[in-house]
Amino acid sequence: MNSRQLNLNESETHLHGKHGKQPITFTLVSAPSSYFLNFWSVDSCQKKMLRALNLLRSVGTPVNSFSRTFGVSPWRSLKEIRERQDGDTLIIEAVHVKSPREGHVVKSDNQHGACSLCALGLDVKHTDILIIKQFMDSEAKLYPRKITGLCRWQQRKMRYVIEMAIRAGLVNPLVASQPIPAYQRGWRKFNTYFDESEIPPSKSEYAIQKVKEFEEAYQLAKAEKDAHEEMLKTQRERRLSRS
Amino acid sequence: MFLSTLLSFKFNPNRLYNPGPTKFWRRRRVLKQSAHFFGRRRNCYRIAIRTLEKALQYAVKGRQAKCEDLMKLRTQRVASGAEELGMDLRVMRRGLDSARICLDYHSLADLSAWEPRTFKALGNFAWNNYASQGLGDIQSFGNPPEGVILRGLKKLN
Amino acid sequence: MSSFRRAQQWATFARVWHLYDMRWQNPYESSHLIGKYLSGRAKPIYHPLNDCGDHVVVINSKEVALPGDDWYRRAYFHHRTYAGTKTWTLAYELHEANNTLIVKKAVYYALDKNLLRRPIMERLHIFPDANIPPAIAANITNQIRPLRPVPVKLEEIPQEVEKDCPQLFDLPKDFVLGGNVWGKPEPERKAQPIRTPYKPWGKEPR
Repeated sequence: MNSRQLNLNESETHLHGKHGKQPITFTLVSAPSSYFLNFWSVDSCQKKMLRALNLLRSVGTPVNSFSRTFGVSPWRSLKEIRERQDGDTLIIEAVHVKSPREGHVVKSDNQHGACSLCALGLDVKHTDILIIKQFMDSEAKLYPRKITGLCRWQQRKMRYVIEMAIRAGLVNPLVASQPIPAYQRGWRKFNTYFDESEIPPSKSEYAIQKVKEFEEAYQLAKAEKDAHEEMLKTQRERRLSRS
Repeated sequence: MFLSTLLSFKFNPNRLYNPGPTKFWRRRRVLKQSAHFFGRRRNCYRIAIRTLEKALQYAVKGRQAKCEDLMKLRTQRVASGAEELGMDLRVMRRGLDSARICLDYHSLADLSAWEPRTFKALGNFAWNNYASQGLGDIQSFGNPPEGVILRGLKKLN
Repeated sequence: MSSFRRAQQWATFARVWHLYDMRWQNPYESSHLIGKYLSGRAKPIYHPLNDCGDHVVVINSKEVALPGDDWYRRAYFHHRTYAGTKTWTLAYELHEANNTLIVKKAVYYALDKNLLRRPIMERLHIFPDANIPPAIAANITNQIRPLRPVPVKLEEIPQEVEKDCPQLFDLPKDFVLGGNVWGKPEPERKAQPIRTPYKPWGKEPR
């Protein structure tokens, strides 16, 4: 199980940062208000989170806006099962491999212990395939919650969103040996898009309680925002009356 | 003799008040208004009076309908002019109102069609005013054009 | 009339040819926008009797997108005026037979319902793909911005961008790449219905 004997060129190349071989960690500037506000993406906070959103959704934008801290952290070791033929014997071994996500994981200032999507306040659409792809395996199936680390709410939403992305034809299962799946034959070959607001809300007690919590937090944050805006208005009026 | 008959015709001592127009004159008043109708409706009193009553009712409704039609046309013209400049009708309207520029849709429509540069100047001003006061959702239209000076403007509240 | 004024007259009253790309657009949302240009409402000289409408050339109508389960729920009714000749054709059947009709019907029903509708429809030119006859292509001077953003497929994104994309979480330690996460034999994948508030006109065909 000596990893040095095997060819690790493929896994090494994409881990190099732009400034050499050190791993790069991204740190987000956290918003002053609570993460509940971000979840509902009120206008003022949406602007603050736009940087993260743009980066995750965009294709080919530079990453220079983030602050970089160079850290020496041990990389996550994952296993990969490899087969090789050694004369008569077929050797199947699990090899420790660097995580392909090494150096690209977003670190957010998460005080409340929220899941990654709630903390960033991302409203994931079915067209955000670069985000969706992270939660699926090669056969386009959602990972279990223990692996994704999402809360129950977001996991359920991601389940629907992945199904939408597949039906829209944006994400094809990467297993080439399978025949054309049932959801690409006949009428399914035509373009379909989806509206995320039509995801049916969950009727479980947990979900209802969560909705209440979010509503209360939203009302609090809204009151804060309104008070702030009123203060700005009075300031502006005073300035205009003086000038 | 002629004068005496005329006088007697005009000054009848048996009548103590002015009876108003006689049958001839009453009918003439109607037929004058129905002169442009079709067929017997313009010549025969009985038919003319019915058609005329209806026509006058239509005229009352039509005055209102004309105002509505013209208003609709004018707002459409102002809206299309505003969209040519890159914004919306409501942005233009609120931007001008909050600066107390009292131009109605009649004037704005004429400007948008026949005085495009004046309309553009007004539109740019309205857009800048709307954006600077934070009246609503302006993000979808992007940044307003530059070169507009908003000085000492008070909000109409 | 001076030459400047003549040019001004032409510029104001000329009939413009617009281009609209139907790729990944909803035909019913876009039809209102297209109808606006066809009837002349995009111009400040608009009057319903002015005959100031423009031409619109629609391309890529075969790549039109309908939401949710509309492809097998939305039905188009046709009656040939003979007894028993009522037909309800589902959207995907119609699209397979003629891939310009969905767009054409959408625009037809979005226009004002008056006698001007027919001549206005003559000014709408729909093409299933991007091949436009050169005589028409030479006239086009403007492109109308489409309403919906065109989604990007995963296979179209270049590799470098995919790799550089920030990840939201890292896989746990000793996670087996490419392995079976669920621990059970994989059941056959069945497309679960996404419930939309829609009226069932056609059943999901197998």
